Amino acid sequence: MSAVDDVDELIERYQLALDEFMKEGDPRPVQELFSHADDVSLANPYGPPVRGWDGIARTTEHAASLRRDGRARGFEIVVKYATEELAYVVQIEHLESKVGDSAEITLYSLRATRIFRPEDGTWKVVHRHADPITTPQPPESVIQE
Amino acid sequence: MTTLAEVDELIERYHLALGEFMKGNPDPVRKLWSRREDASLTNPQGSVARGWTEIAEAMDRAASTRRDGRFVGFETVAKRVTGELAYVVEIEHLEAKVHGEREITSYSLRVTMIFGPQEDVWKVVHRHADQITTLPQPDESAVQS
Repeated sequence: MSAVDDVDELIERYQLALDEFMKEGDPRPVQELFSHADDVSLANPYGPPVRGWDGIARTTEHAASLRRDGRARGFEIVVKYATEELAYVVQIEHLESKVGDSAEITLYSLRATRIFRPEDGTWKVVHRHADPITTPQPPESVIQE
Repeated sequence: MTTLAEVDELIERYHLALGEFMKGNPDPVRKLWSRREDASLTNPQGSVARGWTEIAEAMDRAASTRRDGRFVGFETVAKRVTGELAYVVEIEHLEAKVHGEREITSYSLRVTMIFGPQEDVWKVVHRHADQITTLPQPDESAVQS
């Protein structure tokens, strides 16, 4: 299979894994698609970037524990690019779930950049950067509170 | 020059260019960008820009709200360079007068940048930046307001 096919398959599997993440609060299908190397990184909507598998496992478990009864509603690919050694996709992810203690389903969307590389013949996620900024923000919005 | 040295130089030039950006001048940053249709920018103001026209508009808009600022420093979270594609994950520390304010504001961005060679010159092909650099974000922070 070519790198493009491998990457397409990984992107599709990640989308299914996100569905499990939102539905059951189960981080394992997502975790299985991540590299467990020391240089993997995750910048999720909850805080500063983490590097290394231990931190990523903790961060994905925490985020999943706040999700239930949800699903992935759909994905829009902004850009996708694959070489033999490294590939990436920029996506909008449309998601929904009950968040935290809420009894109501919340719909939201994430801007997500994901980077992949092959490890022992299997393509893995080596970086994910996701944030909920999908609507225009005021200029002051870059400033931390 | 090795590929690694070229990418390191591009990152360094981008940091210098951000210093000008924080003074309101987007031109030095623009020179470091790919002009291809599959270039993309997801900036802290909410853009999901694809292709040079949209990227230039988003950058001009952001730069126009900055003045008297500077690039303060950075921390590298992860970096990988291959022959055809490279990326860096970093925290950027910046300051500027934002949107007409009289006072200088200091802030930080978490950034994923992806680079590719174009006619033998490495260029920025994607930048994803947001202001999520402190812990903890509230549980609801993945959800759009």
